[in-house]
Amino acid sequence: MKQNIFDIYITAAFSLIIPITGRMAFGLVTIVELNILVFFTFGFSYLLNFLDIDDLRTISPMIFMVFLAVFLQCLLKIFFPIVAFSMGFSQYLICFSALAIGTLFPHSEKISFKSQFKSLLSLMLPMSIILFCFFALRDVLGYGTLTLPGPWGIMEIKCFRGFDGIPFFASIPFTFICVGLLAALFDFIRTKVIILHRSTD
Amino acid sequence: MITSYVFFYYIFCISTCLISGVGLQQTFFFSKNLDKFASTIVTCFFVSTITVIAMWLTAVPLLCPYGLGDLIPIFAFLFVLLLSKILNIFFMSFFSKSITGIALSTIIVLFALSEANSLLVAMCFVLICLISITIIVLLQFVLQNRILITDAPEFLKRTSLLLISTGIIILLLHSWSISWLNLEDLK
Repeated sequence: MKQNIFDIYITAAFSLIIPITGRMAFGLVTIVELNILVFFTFGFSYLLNFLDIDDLRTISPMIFMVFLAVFLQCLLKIFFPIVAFSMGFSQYLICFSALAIGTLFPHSEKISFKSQFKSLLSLMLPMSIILFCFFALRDVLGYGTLTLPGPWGIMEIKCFRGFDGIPFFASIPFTFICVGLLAALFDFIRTKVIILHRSTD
Repeated sequence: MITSYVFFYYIFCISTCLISGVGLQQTFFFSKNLDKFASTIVTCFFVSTITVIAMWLTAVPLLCPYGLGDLIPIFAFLFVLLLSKILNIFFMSFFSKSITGIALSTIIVLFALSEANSLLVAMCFVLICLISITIIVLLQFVLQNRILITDAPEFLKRTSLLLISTGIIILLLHSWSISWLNLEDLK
């Protein structure tokens, strides 16, 4: 992965992890919404490519993504009203993170739909797993629970008896430090992989 | 009316950039390269202020009474897009430079509209967001330059130490208030 792509990828991930409340219920909603936005917009962009509509190729996927985000927000308000109310403004951040990931979309007519879809999946799958792990970790350490979104709020599953969590672990400063350590780990692995590739060449 | 206490509270103590995530994504790109930062902030100020005024005077009174307030983000985004395109034509013809910041302007407008209860407060929130982003970008730019001259391993220098330092900055900003006595505040 090139340095600028890696930077966009990391910043898109942590701009979601940091401001959204550190509970697994909100994390699950975020992951589902992000994936829907990214994959549907990718489909829409591919359709524009397929129909040879060149004039709208840059703007219309962005507009489509915002339309879809508002539609998803309405659905969230219907099915999980308290989760939607709690997330508030941060729901729009998902849309703009998806827009940043959108700049990494493989736009080319020469590459087949299948291979474009595969490369997008290879971008989104690790990101979803990282997001899920982060939200679950913050939930367990910060509150001592695992949570799921429900129609009357969030359903809590107690993890350990007698452990109510340490609030600092669910806080934003701790998340910054954690994301920093994760970025260091990724950078370390990336550097090693680059060295390995060069040595084999 | 927004008081000076609230104004500074939103800039420093619960920085809109670090806590609410307004422009957080962009700050990490600008912390490495300040080239387009000033033009982006000035453009965002004009675009966001005009959009907030336009939305408050047209979309809010037209949509909110009928329960269609959820559609405001679409109109705000379309308005920002239109205004940015017009400004882009102007900048390209006079300065031969393109402008950026459509996403940042839209996030600021949506934040201002969701937090404010009057037009003046909404415009204050636009200003608060931009000041908050400017402070964080300048802080991170200085930090990044300091990090680059240290002997730390290369993989720590790129993003990691900057993120950890930002986490510590939030702790310092929070120490300004007595929020340490109330850990619930940090959740």
